[in-house]
Amino acid sequence: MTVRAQAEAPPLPETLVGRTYWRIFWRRFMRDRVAVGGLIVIVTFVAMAILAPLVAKVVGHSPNQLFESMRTELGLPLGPRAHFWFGADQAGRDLFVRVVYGARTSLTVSVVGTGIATVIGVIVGATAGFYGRWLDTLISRVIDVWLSLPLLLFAIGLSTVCSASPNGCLNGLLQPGLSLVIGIIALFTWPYIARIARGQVISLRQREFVEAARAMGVSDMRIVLSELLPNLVGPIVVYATLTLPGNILFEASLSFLGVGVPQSTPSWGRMMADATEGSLFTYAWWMMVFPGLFLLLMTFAFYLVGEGFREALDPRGGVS
Amino acid sequence: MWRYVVRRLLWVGVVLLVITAVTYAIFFIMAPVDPAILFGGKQPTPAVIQQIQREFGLDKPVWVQYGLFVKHIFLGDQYGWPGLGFSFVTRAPVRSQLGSRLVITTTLAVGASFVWLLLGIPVGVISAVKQRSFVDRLAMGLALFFVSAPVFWIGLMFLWVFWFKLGVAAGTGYYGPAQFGFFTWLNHMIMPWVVLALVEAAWYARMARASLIDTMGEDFIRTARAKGLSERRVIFKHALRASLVPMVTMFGMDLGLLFGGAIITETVFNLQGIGQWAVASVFTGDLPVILAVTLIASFAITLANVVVDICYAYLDPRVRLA
Amino acid sequence: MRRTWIGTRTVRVALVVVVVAAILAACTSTPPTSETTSGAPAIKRGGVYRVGVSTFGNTDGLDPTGEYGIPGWGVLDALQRTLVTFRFAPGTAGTELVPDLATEIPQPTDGGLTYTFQLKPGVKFGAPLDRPITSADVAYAFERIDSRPLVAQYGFYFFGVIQGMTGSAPKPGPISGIETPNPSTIVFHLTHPTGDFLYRLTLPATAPIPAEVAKCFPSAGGYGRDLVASGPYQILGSQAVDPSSCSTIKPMSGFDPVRSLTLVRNPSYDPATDTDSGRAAYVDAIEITVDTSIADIFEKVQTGALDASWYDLPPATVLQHYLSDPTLASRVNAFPNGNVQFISMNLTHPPFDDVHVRRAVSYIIDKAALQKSWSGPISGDIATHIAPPFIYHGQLPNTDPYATPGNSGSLEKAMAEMKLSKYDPQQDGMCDVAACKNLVLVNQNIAPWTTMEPFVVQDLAKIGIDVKPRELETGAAYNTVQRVANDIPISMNANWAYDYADAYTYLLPMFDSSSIAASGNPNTSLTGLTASMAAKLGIPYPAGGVPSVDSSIAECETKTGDARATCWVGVDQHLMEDVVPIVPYLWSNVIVITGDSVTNFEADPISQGTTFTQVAVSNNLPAPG
Repeated sequence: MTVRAQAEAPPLPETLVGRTYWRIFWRRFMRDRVAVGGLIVIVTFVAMAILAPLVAKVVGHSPNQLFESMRTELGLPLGPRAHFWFGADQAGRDLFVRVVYGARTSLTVSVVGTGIATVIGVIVGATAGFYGRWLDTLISRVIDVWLSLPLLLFAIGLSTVCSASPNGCLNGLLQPGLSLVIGIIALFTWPYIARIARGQVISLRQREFVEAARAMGVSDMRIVLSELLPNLVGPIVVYATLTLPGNILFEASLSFLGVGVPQSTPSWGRMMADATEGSLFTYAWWMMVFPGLFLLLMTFAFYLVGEGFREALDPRGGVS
Repeated sequence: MWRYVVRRLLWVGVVLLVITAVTYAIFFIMAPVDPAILFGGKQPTPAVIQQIQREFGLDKPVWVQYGLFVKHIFLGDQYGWPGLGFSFVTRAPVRSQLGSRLVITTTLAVGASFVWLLLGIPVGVISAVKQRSFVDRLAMGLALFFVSAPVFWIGLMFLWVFWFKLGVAAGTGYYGPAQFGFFTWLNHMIMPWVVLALVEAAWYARMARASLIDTMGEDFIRTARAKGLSERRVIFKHALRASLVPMVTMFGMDLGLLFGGAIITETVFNLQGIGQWAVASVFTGDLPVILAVTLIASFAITLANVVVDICYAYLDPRVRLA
Repeated sequence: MRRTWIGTRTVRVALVVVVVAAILAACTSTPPTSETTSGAPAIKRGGVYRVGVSTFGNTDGLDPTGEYGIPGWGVLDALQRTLVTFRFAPGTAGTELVPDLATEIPQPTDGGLTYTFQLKPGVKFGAPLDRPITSADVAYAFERIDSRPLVAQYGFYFFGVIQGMTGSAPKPGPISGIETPNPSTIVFHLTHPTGDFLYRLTLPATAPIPAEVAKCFPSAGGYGRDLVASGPYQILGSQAVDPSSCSTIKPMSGFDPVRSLTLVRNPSYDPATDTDSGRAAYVDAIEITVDTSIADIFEKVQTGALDASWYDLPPATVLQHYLSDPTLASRVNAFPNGNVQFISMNLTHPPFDDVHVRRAVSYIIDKAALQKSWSGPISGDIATHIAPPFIYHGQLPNTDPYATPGNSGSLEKAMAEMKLSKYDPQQDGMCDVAACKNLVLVNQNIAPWTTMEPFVVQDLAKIGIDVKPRELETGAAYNTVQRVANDIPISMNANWAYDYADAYTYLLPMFDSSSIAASGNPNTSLTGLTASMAAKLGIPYPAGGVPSVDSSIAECETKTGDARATCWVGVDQHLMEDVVPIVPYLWSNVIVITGDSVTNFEADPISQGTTFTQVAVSNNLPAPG
């Protein structure tokens, strides 16, 4: 997914940083009704994630509570009914409460993972772009090779190894579960961000205001911090927003392949993976439909907002 | 030109060496499963484990093993060329299993790419031509829908609806045309093709639309219009060709990626392709298979890169002018 | 530790095809009653029996010397004959040891140290040899077991038992304790009396192997591709092999280790030489196809593309489909296979170094919920001790030292036990100390283990034990638990079955200190660990020591007959009540779904699947090749 988002990288901002820049950006964004709709959906999801314990309290079921009455003699889960609006899963847990909690996992993993990747990507990419020469060549080549590595296979191997040892890997730094999934997502995403950052820095470097600062003898560090970075924020934010839904899907896919978060942490991908175990979904359709719909809605909303950001940044852009 | 091609191909070789070395190191150091113990059966005594390690060559230092691996790739091993070794899990030469896996993955990749090109590009072009119309909005909305949905979810929903509920499509599994007949084969491939293609087609439609709209604003289009050419001619003769250039890049890369296996589609539809093999071998710690699959996948990706770059030079009028 | 897909089989005991209705009606406590189909007159011969399986799971490429996997043994059964065997018959008749290649079952002489067998005349190898089987061929099988490069995985049944066998020979060569005075006589000299030696001669590695072919495969696994049959079936394409020299021997076409295995009738097999074993060999061919999707296998059984499943457990959705339709219910064949599923606790790791904590765990586990996660009573009886009751010939009725109402666990009893432990200083029935927090629980990453996991976690939490589950691929889970240095406190991934019908094959590997090994350790609870062993393995040793059952196991091993069974019962009960290293929760069944083309089905409980020589089909398909 990330490959594509990169292909649609946003162009440089027309306007340079100024007090009115963000205000203009925001006004443009608010005019895009579809994107605002997406933002409302996201805000709802965030609220749902934060208020999940409250929802559980109102419903009266906790996400890991087991209801034997919700399983048949053969251990099959029962479908939607009063008090169990989305039915039960294979262990007799309330799927509605778990789906609500699932928003937490999706948001945490994708936002933190994308955040870490953005920080690494900007640092590496800006370094390469700013210093150029052999450092740029080296970093670019590393990124090339990195993107050809079978990272998904490494991820599966890594999660198996980290689960095997009682303390996780790297002296307990990587525990199987949330932190490992976040780590994997960051490992996957940073090179794309680095490429964008590098490209932006290279073209900014040649602009007059940077040349001027150079001529005035301003230090490299200062140039990067005060001249380049503020100009990078716009495109990077837009790009990160467009990467986010891809990472939400990525977390779900990892969980689907069995490399995700532990069972006690409800995850939409994992719920759907459970639904495929023994083709359970052909009977318990609710185990696939509800988590899938929520996941779809969240990624859809993030894409809409990302598109909105991009258009607001560059109104010439194509896709509405 | 030729020097460029040779240089790029040499770079492919370097990348492959680096990739296999890293893969080797990672899976050797952090082998999730010790194949020797796995093989020892119910009660693997230390003597049995030692013997199996010797038999698999696992008792040698890592670099010696990696050296042998590289040597076998170039010179072949007892099972032929290129030497990909012996699977720890199936106890059969990796090469003997490679053929059928590649056939399935290629079938999936080629079939799906036809579907997504035939679906994605026309939709994108129509959307671009009828910009901001109802058709455009509907098409782009649908595209965003398929981009947002996880592939496995679409696959499972299709299976549930079309196979389980309606019974109009065949279920999962690969049925070779030689053994089961052409129509059985086709019937079992249609859903995987469509599911994989829908997501890709959504990206291509968006790309095609954006690219065409971009191109329509270029000077040479204005010139063509000024010459009095019909709008249809302008779009199909001039704009479309130029706007397809970035699509070629993307298509080459995507196809390269797919030859490394569409892991999720293969898993959902139980197609025994490269991707499913890769995942299974990581789970079971089957190092020779992991390496073989890594090699194939990265070879496909890096080679696709080179081919795309070379094609680019031929396709893009701007590149040719320069 | 036995894997669900790599395991072992054995003896042909109690071949009971339990009709599902009977199981459901009788529920859990009654011993399986037999309602077999083999009594029906005139079963039609011919046709092809087609089964699907998710993986062959061969541990040694079907080479009989090293093969230690369930599927492998099931197939070898149809390909090979051994000196003695268990009768191929359902019910109690199947527990009877009968001569197969031997003319009769010998009485040991020399104080139980010497066994002399006479071979039947006229028994021949199949293609491409078609020559008489001699005592040298049987001796050669033992020479292969003794040779180190061939990795005989269960050679320990013979090493140190037959004189001169140590398992360290560099290549097959004469063994001092095995004599072949003439082509039809073979004599075994043992180092000490071994009560179950004749049982061990039913193991597939002891079947005759022709040296002229097998010598071409000096390392493990290779011979499986060119196995020369002695039984009623042979691998398709056997005739095409040219045995004149090693270089001309190519793999038989009927066996592709990743895709399929086809067996056809062995023309050299003469039923007149096989009157004792009861082999029927109804079908003309057996076709086994690998399909990694279990769902697809059952789908194909339903549509008739396959005749039956093999040892893959049908998912609950499939069971639901069959059991909810009275006309289909009879196609579900469930039978016990000697497998015990359990939760293992590490006797050296706090808090499980305290027997009261282990007893509290035994009380709190909701076995009924675990059984339901396995698809309910059809999947097996709730386990109340270690080895299943039929192993003890009825001497150990379903006694349960940790009985709870409805097998659902008892918080009251668990808390009472916990209060006796040193880890409950507050005396509130909950473990209150840090030792009970953040304990790693190793589990498999597939159903039903993943389904059971939340139940185990919830149950343990009730008595203050907080576990962190780690879901691993089956092989990785075993690897992790069986590596002693990992010091895993508690695991729920494991199960164990037996190699032949004697409790020795459970109790020795699972609980004897001699089985403890740094890696690949089957004694995961570390029962019998000594301080010096702990130091060598690099794990802490608890101040209170670790209980041992070594001496009782050694004592029982020398006994025979009923005294032996009684002795094993004592060890089992002692382990359950005083040592408590594991919580057994299910004696799981194998469930085979057959299509309507199957007219006779018999399942060998120990082979975890189908007795291929006893099945019959009405599909009239021509045999391939």
